[in-house]
Amino acid sequence: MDQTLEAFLLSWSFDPWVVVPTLLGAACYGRGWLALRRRGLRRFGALQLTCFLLGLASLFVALASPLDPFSFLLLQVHMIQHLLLMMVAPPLLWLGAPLLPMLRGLPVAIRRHWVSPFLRLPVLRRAFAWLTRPVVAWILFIAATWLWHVPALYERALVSDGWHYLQHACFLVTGLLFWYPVVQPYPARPAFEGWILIPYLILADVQNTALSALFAFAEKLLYPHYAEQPTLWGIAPLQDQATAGVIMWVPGSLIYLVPLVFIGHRLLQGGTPEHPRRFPAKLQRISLPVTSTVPAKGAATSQLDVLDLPLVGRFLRWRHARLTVQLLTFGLAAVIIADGLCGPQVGAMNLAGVVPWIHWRGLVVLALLGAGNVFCMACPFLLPRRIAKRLFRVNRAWPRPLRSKWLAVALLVLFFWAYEAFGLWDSPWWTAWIALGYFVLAFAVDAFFRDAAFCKYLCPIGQFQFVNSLASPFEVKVRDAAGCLQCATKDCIRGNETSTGCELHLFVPRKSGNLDCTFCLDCIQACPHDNVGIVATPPGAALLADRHRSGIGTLSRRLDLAALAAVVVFAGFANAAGMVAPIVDLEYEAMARFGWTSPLGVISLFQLGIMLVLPAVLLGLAACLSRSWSRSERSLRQTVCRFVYVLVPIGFGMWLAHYSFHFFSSADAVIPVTQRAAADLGLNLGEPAWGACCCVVAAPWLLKLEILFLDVGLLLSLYLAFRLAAENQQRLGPTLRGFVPWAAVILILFAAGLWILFQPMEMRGLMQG
Amino acid sequence: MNTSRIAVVVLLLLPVTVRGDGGTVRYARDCGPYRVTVFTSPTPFRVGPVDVSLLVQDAKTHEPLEGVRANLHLLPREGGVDVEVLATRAAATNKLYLSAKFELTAAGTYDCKADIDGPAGPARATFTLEAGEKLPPWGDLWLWFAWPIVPIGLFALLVLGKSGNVVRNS
Repeated sequence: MDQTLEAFLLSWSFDPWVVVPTLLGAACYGRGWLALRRRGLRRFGALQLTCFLLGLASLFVALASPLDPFSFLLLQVHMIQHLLLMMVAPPLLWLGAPLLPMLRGLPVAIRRHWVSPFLRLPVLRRAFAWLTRPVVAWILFIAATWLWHVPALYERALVSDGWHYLQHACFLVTGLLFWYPVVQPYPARPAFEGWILIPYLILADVQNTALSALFAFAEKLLYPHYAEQPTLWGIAPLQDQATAGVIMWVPGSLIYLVPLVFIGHRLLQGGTPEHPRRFPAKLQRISLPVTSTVPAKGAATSQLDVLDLPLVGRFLRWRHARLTVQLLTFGLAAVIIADGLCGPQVGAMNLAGVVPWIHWRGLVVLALLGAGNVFCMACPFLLPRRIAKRLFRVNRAWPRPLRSKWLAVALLVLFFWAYEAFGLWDSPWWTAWIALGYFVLAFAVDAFFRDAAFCKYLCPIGQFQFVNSLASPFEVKVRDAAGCLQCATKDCIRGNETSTGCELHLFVPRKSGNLDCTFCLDCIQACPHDNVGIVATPPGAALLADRHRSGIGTLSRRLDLAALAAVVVFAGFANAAGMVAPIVDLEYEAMARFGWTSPLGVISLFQLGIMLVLPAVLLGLAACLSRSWSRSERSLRQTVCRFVYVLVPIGFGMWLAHYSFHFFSSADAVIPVTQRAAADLGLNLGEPAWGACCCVVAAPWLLKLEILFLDVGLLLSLYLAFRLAAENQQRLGPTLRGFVPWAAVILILFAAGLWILFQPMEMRGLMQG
Repeated sequence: MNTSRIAVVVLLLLPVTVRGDGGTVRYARDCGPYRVTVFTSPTPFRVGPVDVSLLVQDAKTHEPLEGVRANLHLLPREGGVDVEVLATRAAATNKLYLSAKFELTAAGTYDCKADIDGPAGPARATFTLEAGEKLPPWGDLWLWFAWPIVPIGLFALLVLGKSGNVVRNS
C-alpha cells in the first residue's frame, strides 16, 4: 500500500475529549430512544436512530479521524472536515429528532432538576426561536462560512489551537442553526411558510457556488500556509486548492439540493408539515412528555437501581458477595503488609509505598464519584471484626459519652497530620504498621462492643467515605416508601435469620443520604419484601431537608458531624497543597526563619492551621454574615451546622482532582513493583522497568479533568448553598444576602484549588519521588 | 422551546480536538537522499510540553519512507541542559511523522540537530528553534475553569425569572 495512504489510515487520535462525549451522546440518545419506543411512540423509529448515530459518527470522523491531522497538510482534507461539521453532521443530528430521546435518556434527577428548568426559561426559548428564524439562521451560517475563509482568519486558525476550536465551534453551531428550519425536528413548530425554504436553500447554494469558484479558479494560493507544507501524493498546493473548491462545490451543492427536492415535492403535493401547528396539550411544557406520562409498571423503581443491573445486581444480591470481595481485599492487604515489612524500604519500589497511596486512594475516590461508598463494602478490616464477634459474642454497648464523631474527627486529623508530618507515602514500613494497627483496632473494638462501633465512631477511612459519599450518585434506600408502612417486622434494622440488619442503626425508611452507611447491604439481604435498593439519587439532594435522620439525628444540631465535614473538606486542600512546590518552599523558608532543624513543626502548623483554624474562622465568619444579612432566626451554631455540608462537593472535587492525578499519572508504577515483589518470592514476571514509570509527562487531558472535577464541585456547592439560603425565605433579597457569604467561601476554596492544580506536583510513588 | 437541544448537543459535542503533533513548519529541505520537514507545536513555540515532529520523505519522489529512525538533539545557545530525544512513529498521531513529545524547561534559542538513519543511509538536518517563555497555565486553560459562569448565569436567569413571576402574580 502507498506509504502516505497507510500513514493516513493509521492516524486516528481517539482523543478522550471527543470519544467520551460522543459515546455519552450516543448512550443517552439510545437510552431515551428505547424508552420512548417502549411507550409506543412510533415517531422514533430506526430512521431517527440511524440518522442521529450517523450524525455523531460524522462529527467523530471530522474531529478524531485522520482528517484532523491531515487537514494541516492539505486544504482539500480540511474542506472535507468543514463540510462534515457544517453540512453533514447538523442535518443528520436534527433528523434524529434528538430533543425527546436525549431528555428521556438523561438520568431522572439531572433531567428534572437541571435540564427541564432551563428548557422552560422564556429568555432562552425566545433566543432560540429568534436564532432559528430562517433569515437569522441563514445570515449567521453564511457569515460564518465567508468570515472563516478570509485568509487572515483561516491562517490564524491553522496555527492556533484556540482559534481552530473556535472555528470548528462556529461551523457546528451555525450549521445546527441553519439546518434546524429545514429539518424541523420533532417537536418543532414551523413559524413560517414552507415555500420560504426554497429561496433559503437556493441562495445558500448560490453563495456556496461563488465561494467554491473562488477556490477552484484562483490563480494564486489563498492560504500561504499550504505552500510551506510538504508535498503529499504529488499534489501541488494550487492543485490542492482547486480540488478543495470542487469538493465544496459539488458535494456541497448536492447537500443543498436533496432537501430542496423533498421540500419542493411536498409543496407541490400540497402537503403540510407532519408536525402539529401547536403541541398537544400534554406537550405544552417541554418536560411533560418525559416526566408526566403515565408511569409504566413498577413505576416505584423507575429510578436506576444498581440491583436491577444484569450482572452487578445479581452479584450484589448474592449472600456471600461482600465476603468474597472482602477476602480479595484482605489477601491484597496481607501481601502489601508483608512487602511493607520485609521488602525494600523505598516507597517507589515497594507495594506498600505504591498500591495504597496511588491506586487504592485513586480508585476509592473514583468509586465514590461513580457509585458510592464501595470501599466500606469491600473493607478488609471487617474480617477481623467478624472473627471478634464470633469469638466473643459481646453485648456491651459503645459508651454513651463517646457516641459522637469527636473521636473520629480527632483520629482523622491525626491521620492527615501524620501523613504529611512523617511522609507516610514514602515509608512502606509505617504504611504496613498502620494497616496492621487498623486490623488490631478493628478486632479489639468489636471484641468488646456490639454492633459496628468501630465503623461508626472510630474508623477515619469510614468517616472520609461517609462525608464524601454525600456527593455520590447512589444511595441505599427504600424503593417504595408505601411498602414500608405495612411492614411490621422491620427486619432491615432488627435483622432476622438471614441477616443481622443494620449494625449502624440506620432504619432505611427514615434514612436520608449516605452518612454512616457502609453499603454493607445487610438491610437489602434482610428485607423480606425486597424493598431496599441501591438507587440513583441527585448528589447532595439529601442535604436539602433538615429532617430527623435515623441513626444520625438532625444535621443542624450535630456539631460533631459538622466538624467532621469541615475537616474532610479542608483537609482535601491541605493535603494537596502540602505537595506543591511553592508551599514546600514556604515551609522551608519558615523553618529557616524560626531556626528549626526539622520541618515537623512547620508542617504541623500548616496542616493543623488549614484543617482546624481556617475552617473555624471562615465558617464562623460566613455564618455570622449570612445570619445577620438574611435576618435568619437560626442560631450561629445551627447556621454553621446546616451550611457546612454545602462545601462537601467542592471538597470532594479537590480530593478527586488530587488523587486521580496520582492514579492516572502513575498507575503503571505498580508493574515494576509487582515484578520486584514477585522476584523476591522467586517468581519471574520479567525485569522491572523502573524507568518506564519515571519522569513521565502527565497526559495533557489530566489537568483538564482535574479542573473539571473542581468545576462540578463548585457548581454543586453553589447550588446547594443557594437552596439552603432560600429555605424559609419568601423573597429573593434575603435569600441572596444569606447566600453571598457562603458563595464567597466556596469561591475562595475553588480559587485555592485551581491555584494548587496549576502548581508543579511531586510525582509521589515514582522513582523520582 | 428547543433551547436544550443547542445546550445539550453543543456542550456534548463541542469540537475539542487536541493537535497531537504537526503544527508550524520549522524546516523543510533536502538532506542528502531525504526531504526533511520539521514541525513544532505549540505555536508560538514555548517552554512547557512541546512536540517536535519530523516528516522524512524520499528527496526525489517525495514518498514518505518506512524504517526511518530520528534522534533529536537540542542545544541551548545560551548554555544550559541539552535535550536529546528519540522521535518515534508510535508517539505521533499523524503516522506520517516521527514525533517527540517532551518538556522544554528553558526559553531561548536552541541549535537543533536531527540525526536521521533510513534506508538510504544516515543524514543530518540542522536548524534553530526559538522557544518563548512559558505561558501561565491559566492562559491556556481559562476556558476549562471559566465555563461554570455559563450555568451560573443561566441559573441566575431562571431564579430572576421565577422571582419576577412571583412579584407579578402577587
